[in-house]
Amino acid sequence: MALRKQTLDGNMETLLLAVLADGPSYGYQIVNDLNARAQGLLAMGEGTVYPVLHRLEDRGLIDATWRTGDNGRRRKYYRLTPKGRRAQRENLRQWQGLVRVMHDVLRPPPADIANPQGDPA
Amino acid sequence: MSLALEQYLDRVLAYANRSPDDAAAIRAELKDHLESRVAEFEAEGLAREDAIFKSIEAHGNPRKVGYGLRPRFAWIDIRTHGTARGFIAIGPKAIGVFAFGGTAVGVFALGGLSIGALSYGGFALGAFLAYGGLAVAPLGLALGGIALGAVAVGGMAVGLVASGGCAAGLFTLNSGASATWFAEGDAPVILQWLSLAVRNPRYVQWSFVGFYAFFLPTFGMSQLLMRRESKRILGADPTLAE
Repeated sequence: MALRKQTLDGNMETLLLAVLADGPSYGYQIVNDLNARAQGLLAMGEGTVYPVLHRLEDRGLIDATWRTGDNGRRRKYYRLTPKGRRAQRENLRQWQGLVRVMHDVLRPPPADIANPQGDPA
Repeated sequence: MSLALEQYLDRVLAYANRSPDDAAAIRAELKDHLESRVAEFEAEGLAREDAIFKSIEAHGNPRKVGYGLRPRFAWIDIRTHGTARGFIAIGPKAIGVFAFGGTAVGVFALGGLSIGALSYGGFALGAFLAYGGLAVAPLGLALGGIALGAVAVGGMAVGLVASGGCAAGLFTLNSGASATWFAEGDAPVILQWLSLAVRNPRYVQWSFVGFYAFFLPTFGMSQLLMRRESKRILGADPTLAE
């Protein structure tokens, strides 16, 4: 399902922290990870991941080091800081709580509540 | 590296408008990404030119990526598109301490629609001072064609204290047609005090002079800076002129 830009905007940081929780990674690999986990997530452009990564770096949630990759090119590797790991755990808790609430509220009502008269739809 | 990829990166970095060191680091990072993507597409069997085109397309609009790479709240942020955010913000939409734009929100806001503590514009909503075609200043002085405020002065003025061609208020002064609650001399002290701005016509005149002395240079400067920014972006992204 295609998600609205606004829906994703506020949650991209959470998604990137979740990918980096699996270990240090660089932009291209992070994008591939995200695409592998949720196809079509980056429909608005792979490059939009970098502003979010830089913002997380500025806030001290991830740090970055330049290393030479397998292909001989210099690459910027990101990894979670202790602060980022705490934020990622907290985000996960918040999301699990939100999903539970949304599921409870939005689930389809039982048939006898939705149609108490038994009228044909 | 291909010319098309370099041009794409030039555009992204023109919009990002970062220091040379930051720009070099961003270029290296994005270049690695794009080249990796090109190699992947080539490995899937695409011709190099097609692989480059698809990689650029997948990377996204250079303006969107570049603007995203600007600091969240810069000292000075000037944009030709979207919302500028900074201590001084200039753009179609601007949010800042000093905001200039089609829509401006700031402590000092100047724009077609301006909202702030001190606002100037076609439609000005200022907490303490509003000056414009339609000026609203709930806590202070509104000066305009239509003025609504604690003290309102204008063609049509409505306020606690109002003065104008057509004025309505608890207390009106120096007005043509007026609807008033208190006669002069009977008004409570607070209204008498607020009416200081209206009592002395020279005070109002000087506020006009002060406004234009401030408005014209700041408006001129913001237009000049916007034009320079457009030129700078056009240098890197000629497609904008199309």
